[in-house]
Amino acid sequence: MSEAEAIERAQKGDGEAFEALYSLHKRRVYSLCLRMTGNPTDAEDLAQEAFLQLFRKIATFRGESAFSTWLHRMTVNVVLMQLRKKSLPVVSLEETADGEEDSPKRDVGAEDLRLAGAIDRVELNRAVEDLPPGYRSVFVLHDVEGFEHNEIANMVGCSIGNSKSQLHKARMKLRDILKHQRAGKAEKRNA
Amino acid sequence: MLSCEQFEELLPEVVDGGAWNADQQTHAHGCAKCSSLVEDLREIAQEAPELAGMHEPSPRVWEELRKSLLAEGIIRPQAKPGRLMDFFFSPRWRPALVPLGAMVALVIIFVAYKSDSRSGDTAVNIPTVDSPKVAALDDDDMQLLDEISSRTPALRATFEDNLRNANAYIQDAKDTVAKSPENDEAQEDLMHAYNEKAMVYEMAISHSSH
Repeated sequence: MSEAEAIERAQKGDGEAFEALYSLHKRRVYSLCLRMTGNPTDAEDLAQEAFLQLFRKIATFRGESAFSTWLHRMTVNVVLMQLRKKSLPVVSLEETADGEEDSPKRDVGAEDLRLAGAIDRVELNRAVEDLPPGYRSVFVLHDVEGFEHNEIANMVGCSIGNSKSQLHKARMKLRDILKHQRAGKAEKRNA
Repeated sequence: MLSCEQFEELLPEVVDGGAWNADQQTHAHGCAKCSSLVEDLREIAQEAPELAGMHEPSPRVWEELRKSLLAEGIIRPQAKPGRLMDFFFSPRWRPALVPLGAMVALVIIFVAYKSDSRSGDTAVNIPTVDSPKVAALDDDDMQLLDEISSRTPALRATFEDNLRNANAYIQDAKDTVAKSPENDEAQEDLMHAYNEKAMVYEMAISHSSH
């Protein structure tokens, strides 16, 4: 069953079509929820809620935008709402967060080697899990999900500049985390 | 000449594919650390989309979602008659149809015998399938007749008559029970009527499956 056919049948209440749409998008939606929350149980509940909200409105879908775009926007909204309820920082409102313990530091003049070897997705995934929530949200929305800064600013409720700034800090922090991960592995090998 | 701090402030645009200005280019060529930093950040940004769709939710998510969709009426159940016929004519049940039919017939004979023995000389009025009474057909009956038409069209009229008679028998028996609910014979009569209809169904299925 193609996505277009599944949408048409789902609009008529066909249970198999809903299952087909769920199967097509479940990994992407769940992964997004998991990365934004960092908690598998919360991520499953949010993925379920996102699909439920979408399926409630499926009769109104007219195909002006891609179905996946519609679904991912809805998922992001569901997750952000949940993060706000739990008072977790979506984006730090403090632009000058460089003094914070979590913010990436770069000692000018110190030895600052390049990451040796290509970054694989398993190691990057682990590093993203270690990112502070504020950085993680913007990194996931921009670099993983492909939203633009103006879209993120609208969804998250921050300025475009803040979104850009947080993204840069997130990438810098990820680089630090990856370096530490690799250094730890190297130590273990040498021990 | 830009310092490393000044260079880093301008990095976000460059990492996302923006053009270098002359000062940035000069600094990057002369500073290994800053050029390494740019390459690392670009690699992180390029690898990030690979993380989308990396994890699989547990089956619990769909099960719970399905329950909610059914409860809210978003998933509509299929029409009942179609389901019933699909069930009866499902290929996996066909091998069981003949023994099932025999069992139904035995139940009818047993109940009829019991009824006879209880009522003594009083004959129990069990209309046969060729009774002159007629009655309307319900959706299940129509589905059954459609199945018969598609498989053995010549038998449709016969089965239609039998179903109408069985329905008339059921209706009569129901009326009797309604008039005298305490009458055991009337209750048994109703059971006979339903069994008769079950037998018509069994015969129809048996014919259609061969």
